[in-house]
Amino acid sequence: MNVLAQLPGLLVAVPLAGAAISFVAGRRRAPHVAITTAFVVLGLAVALAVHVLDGGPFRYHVGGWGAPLGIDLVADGAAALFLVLTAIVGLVVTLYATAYFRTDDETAYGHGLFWTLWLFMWTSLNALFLTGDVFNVYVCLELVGISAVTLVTIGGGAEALRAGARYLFASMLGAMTYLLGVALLYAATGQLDMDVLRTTLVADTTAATGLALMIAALVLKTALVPAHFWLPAAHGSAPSPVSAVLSSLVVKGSYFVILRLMLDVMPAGYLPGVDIFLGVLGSAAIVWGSVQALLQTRIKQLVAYSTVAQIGYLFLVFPLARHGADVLTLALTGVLVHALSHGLAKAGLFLGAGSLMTRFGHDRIADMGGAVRSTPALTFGVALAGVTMMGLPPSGGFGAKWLLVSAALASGEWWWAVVLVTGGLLAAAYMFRLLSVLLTDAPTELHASKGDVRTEWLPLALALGAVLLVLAIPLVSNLAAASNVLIHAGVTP
Amino acid sequence: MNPIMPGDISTLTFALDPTAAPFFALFAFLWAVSGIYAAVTTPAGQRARLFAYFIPSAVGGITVALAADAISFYLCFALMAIPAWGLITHARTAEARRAGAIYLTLTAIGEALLLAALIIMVVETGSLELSVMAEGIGGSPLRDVAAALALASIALKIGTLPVSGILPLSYTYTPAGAASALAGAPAKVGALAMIRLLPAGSMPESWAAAVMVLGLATAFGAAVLGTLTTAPRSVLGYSSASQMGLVLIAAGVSLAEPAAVPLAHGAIVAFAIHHGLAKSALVLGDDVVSRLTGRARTSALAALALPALALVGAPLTSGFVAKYALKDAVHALHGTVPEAVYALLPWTAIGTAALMLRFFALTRERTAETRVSPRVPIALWSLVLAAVALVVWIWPARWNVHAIESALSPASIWTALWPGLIAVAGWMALRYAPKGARRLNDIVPPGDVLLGLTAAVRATDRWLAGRARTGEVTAGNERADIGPALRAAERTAVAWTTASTLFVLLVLLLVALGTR
Amino acid sequence: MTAWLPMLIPAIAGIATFALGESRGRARNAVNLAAAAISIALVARLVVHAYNGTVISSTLPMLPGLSLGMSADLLGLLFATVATVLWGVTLVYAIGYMDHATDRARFFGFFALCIAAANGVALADDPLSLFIFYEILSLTTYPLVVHNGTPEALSAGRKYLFYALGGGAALLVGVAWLAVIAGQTPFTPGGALAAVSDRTAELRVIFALMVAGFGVKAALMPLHGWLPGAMVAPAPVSSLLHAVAVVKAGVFGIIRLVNELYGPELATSLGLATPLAIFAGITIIVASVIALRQDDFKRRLAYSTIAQLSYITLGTALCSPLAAAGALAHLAHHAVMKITMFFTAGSVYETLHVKKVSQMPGLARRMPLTMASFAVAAFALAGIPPLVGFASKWMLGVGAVEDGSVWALLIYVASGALAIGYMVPVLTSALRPGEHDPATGAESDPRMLWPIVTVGVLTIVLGLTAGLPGSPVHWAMTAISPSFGGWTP
Repeated sequence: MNVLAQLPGLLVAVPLAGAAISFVAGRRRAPHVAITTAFVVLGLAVALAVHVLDGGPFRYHVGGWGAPLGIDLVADGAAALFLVLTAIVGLVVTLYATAYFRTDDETAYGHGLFWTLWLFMWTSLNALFLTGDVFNVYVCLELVGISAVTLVTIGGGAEALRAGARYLFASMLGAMTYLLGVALLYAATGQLDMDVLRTTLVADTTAATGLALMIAALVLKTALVPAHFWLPAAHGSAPSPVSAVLSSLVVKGSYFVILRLMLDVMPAGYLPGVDIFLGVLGSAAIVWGSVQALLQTRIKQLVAYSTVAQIGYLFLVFPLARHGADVLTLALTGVLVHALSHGLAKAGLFLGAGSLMTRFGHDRIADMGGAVRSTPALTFGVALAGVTMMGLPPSGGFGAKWLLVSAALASGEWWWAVVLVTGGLLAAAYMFRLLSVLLTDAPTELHASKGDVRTEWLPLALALGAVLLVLAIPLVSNLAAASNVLIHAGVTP
Repeated sequence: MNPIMPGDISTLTFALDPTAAPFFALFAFLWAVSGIYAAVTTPAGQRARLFAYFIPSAVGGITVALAADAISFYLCFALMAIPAWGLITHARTAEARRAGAIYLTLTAIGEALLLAALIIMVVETGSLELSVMAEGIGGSPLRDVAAALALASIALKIGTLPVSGILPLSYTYTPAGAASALAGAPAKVGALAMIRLLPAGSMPESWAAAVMVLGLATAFGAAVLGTLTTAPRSVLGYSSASQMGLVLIAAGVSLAEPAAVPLAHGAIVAFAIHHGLAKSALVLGDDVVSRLTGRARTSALAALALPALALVGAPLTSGFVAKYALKDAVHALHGTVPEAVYALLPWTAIGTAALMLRFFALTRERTAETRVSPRVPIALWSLVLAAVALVVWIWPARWNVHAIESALSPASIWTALWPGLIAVAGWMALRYAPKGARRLNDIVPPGDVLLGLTAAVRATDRWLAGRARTGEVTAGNERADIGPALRAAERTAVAWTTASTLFVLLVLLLVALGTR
Repeated sequence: MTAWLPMLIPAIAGIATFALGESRGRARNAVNLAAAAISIALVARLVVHAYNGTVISSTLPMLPGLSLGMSADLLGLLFATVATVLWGVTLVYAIGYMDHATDRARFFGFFALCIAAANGVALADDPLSLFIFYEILSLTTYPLVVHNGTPEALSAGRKYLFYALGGGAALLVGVAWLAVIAGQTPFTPGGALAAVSDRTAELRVIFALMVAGFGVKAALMPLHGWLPGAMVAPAPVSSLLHAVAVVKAGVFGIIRLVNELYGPELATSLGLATPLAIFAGITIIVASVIALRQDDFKRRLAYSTIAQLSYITLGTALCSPLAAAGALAHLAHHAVMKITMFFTAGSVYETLHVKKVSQMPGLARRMPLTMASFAVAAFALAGIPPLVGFASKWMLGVGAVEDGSVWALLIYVASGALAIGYMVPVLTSALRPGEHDPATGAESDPRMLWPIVTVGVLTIVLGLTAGLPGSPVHWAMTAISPSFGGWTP
């Protein structure tokens, strides 16, 4: 049996095994287990991407059963991209967490459990990216949700618990709605496999209602405005490594399902008007999230609202997808680049915010003056992450903005370009509100006199990755071409 | 060689052509004499500072006569005019500084107008040569623009109405030696420009008439202003403006009628030389008188009568010849305006005579603040006086001036005398006039309306600045802070009830859209 | 690859400067000066190649269907030469100026990165590449503007970013739109858009967007608001970036846009050139008038810069060969003149803490060489022959009249008069006797003095040699010629 064909299975099995081992290994050895797992998963993800680039998308039958009876995993270019992103961010966050949780090891109970929960969430995320079946999506979403809620509250504290409760509510509400949708869809079609649904779906009110409910649920899970009510609290009060993972990866999981449902499973116009509606909500998210970010006085709240805004960009692909294969290619490549660059930069930003909070001993932006003196690498990392958030060249964010703007202009619907550009400017506004404080010459009173090399440099590494992503755009573009969306749209032969 | 390649220093050409010769002689003489005079009379400590400006100004002021192409003309013109600002402000008093500022402003504008005129002429004629340019611009569609720009630039140099104040401003506060140069030379560069730049003989008659009227108005107006001013050199400045008004009449004559061009140009040259020397003599004389006492002072005052009489146009003086040439030129034209101008020309001498009387009255009372041996100043002054006296006898005929023969006829003597007599009569009458009327004679400060204009500009500027400040304050206060409102909106949006409602609405909307 | 080096070498120097850190001052100076020397030699070599007709270029694939390209043509090399040579001069000055300052590693690092970006703008071969370096330039300048870290500096920096990023956004849309309708469009003398010239409405909007983008750095009114405030930056920044590299990147963008993207013909036939010219004309006059009443020395210079930049914009927008060549020559000439003035402003501030024109009495005697250099540059700026400013002003004026735009000529000469108006008061004030007596000390630090004298002398030398081959005037005419169908004067 070809080893490469086993990669999807391994990508789920390895982190799951890591989670189990770390639970048994105890809190002292758990970090080593996590780091090892992270490196292995990264290798597997890269191998999968290379394999998909070479041979195109492929299916993997768990246990060899095959659809419709067994569980199928689908590896295409887009999934490979998300898996690689998850692996890179996962690895960096794991390394960062070894420093972050060490500092106040004794004070909080849950940290020992962090490694297990985190690897378990990683497992569920990988499964979510790979699953080819709408019911398994539900399962994965639930697993991700539960581990995420637990991780939010792991640090303890009233605020985190309140945020966790809110997150749990949203997560359950989303899951229930999704399950209801799946039930309706199954009732109408008798199918759960996405590939089968794609070829068999016909106009039908029940199926359409089911799909609409599924989309609504996923929109809630992705925290698209106005369903973002849980995100700033959860991402803002979780421990920083958790925030990084939630903002950079978890919301992308549910988004990826929407992407597949909207552009791959459903024929064009199956849910008429929903594509434009999602685009409008995306635009609203960009503006509203940015404006709220601008108003925040605490660093992680700012970064969290930035996520609310940045998620909006991802939804602009849907209205643009109606304008033919060329525009679809541009727009899809654009959102994929955006997902990658935002994933890297946002993780860097949350990790950076965490380090700053540790160094300063508080999270008030206004009192973080002089950071550039005391922690130059960290400040530089935050600044670089800001550059890609704003979509300034040369950065991955710029590549994404360029592709999306081009798609908007090529489609003739130029107003999406206006939204994109405005979003970039608003991002500049809120990022510089933060940076202008960090760059001042104010005398600094540091809580922790010396930062760990990991907390100083890892945010910079992620931000640098987001910037250098611009050089990898041809590669992303090739992976996008190897995605089922473009293959099924007839773009890629 | 491509005519529009700039900057190449080798393209500068200088030539001593027939037009250049008299001007070159005049400028070289005036700047040289004034330079020596300034060197002798300036205190040692200030000499370097004065000559830092005097020398470039003199170099420009002399070579401008020889400039044969547009760039060298502009270069020399600028070289003369701009450093002269340092001469005007040499005294470092508030008035001198203000005079310098006004002078510099007007000079800068004049330079700009000149450059514009030159560039248009160069482009339109495809040549950098001044003679070709003045000839060729007559047939160009941009002729009127070029002529208007050139005339405006000349007007600023010679101080026509309403900018007559530039001349009194440029030598009232200047040290005597430098003032003598500035009184004699720069305005004559305006006269040179009239010959060099104006499209002679190819302009419409209306232009000629307008220019002549402006010249005549300046001749009268500046005289009135001058009699009402206080400082002797200010009087001389207004007198220069008045005289240059007469030169402008000649320039007007040259514009429209090709046949009158030689006569008009002759008159311009004659006037330039006559006035340059006479005015320089008066400025130096004023300074010499102030340094003398007793009999020497009386003799000097008497000698000062020569250039004064020349200006009034007394027979056998250079002024007589120049005015005669001017009349000749105006007479060559026909039409209402030239004839009216011709009729009014002799009356301008009343103004000149009045100015000279006023000058004498003021000079008599002056004493110098510095005590330097007056020997060299007197010698230099005598040299200029000699030039004033003699120039008329060596007047080359080729300048189309042939008036000497008629100078002694009773009719021309009467013509020369009556305006003077009227002025003297008026002067005597004023002595017995009530006190209030006598005080009239110091109501015009040097610079007249220009001072008012400067004050108005300053006031407007202050007012605008004040308004800008108030505006900033109001704008700052009125800027609404929408931050709290936006924060409140977000708090509502994420509240449990609103959030749930919003989600339900979202679900319903999606389903409604999807199952439409 | 050689075409990338003028950009890469300063970039490497910048990164090396960061790596060396604050304490190793000698090594830092050596690295920067060596990089400047190498860059100058390299640019000189490229210029020789370009003059011989070999344009060295190179491309890298970047976005789908679009590549990043650098091309060492004469037009770009003119700007690159100006930026690189003056970088060398400014480095010497800055080493003197920043002698007692802190954060020098940050300062010199970003300084080098700015030059790298400016050289990128200069040699970029297509709108996308130009845009990328243009935005990098915006970003790398920000830390220099806020270098002092004072609230004033931060507020100026905020304003600068607001303008720069806003302009960048407009430019991005313009460039992307152009790429959508025309694909890869490398700059071509005379215009690169012949194939899509029938899409007039879109082309007009794109032009407007791109002018809005470039107009910010070119300080075209009403987009100029950031420049006076940005003067809070240290003097070397004002000198090199706000008189040479950054602002010239804006006008250089306009030059590329008009001459080599749209081409003079298309720009005229679409009716785009005249509105641009009118904006520039208004800017010249309004900025000059505002300059008259600035007491803050650097603000006065800043408004003068705004006016002078629009000289270049106006000359380009006239779409007449001689005016376009004059505009390009003025890009170099103004750089030399204005850097002299900003050096002076920096010197008098660093040596005597003089910031205002009204505080200058006595300066002429205290710092005679400095003020003499300033005077020469000031008169050059006013266009007094035979100094350098006259040559380009003459070309611009003659070009304007040749084009039939006498109004533009009048604006040029009027602004010359206004330049006298706002420059001479500086000299007057300095010449007055006052507190700064020679007895109280000597000229400024020689590392500041000699760069000033060097650039001051350059304003005379370049003016006298303007007619010779290889001078900016000649260079500009050669570079602009292909855009006008091989025009020769």
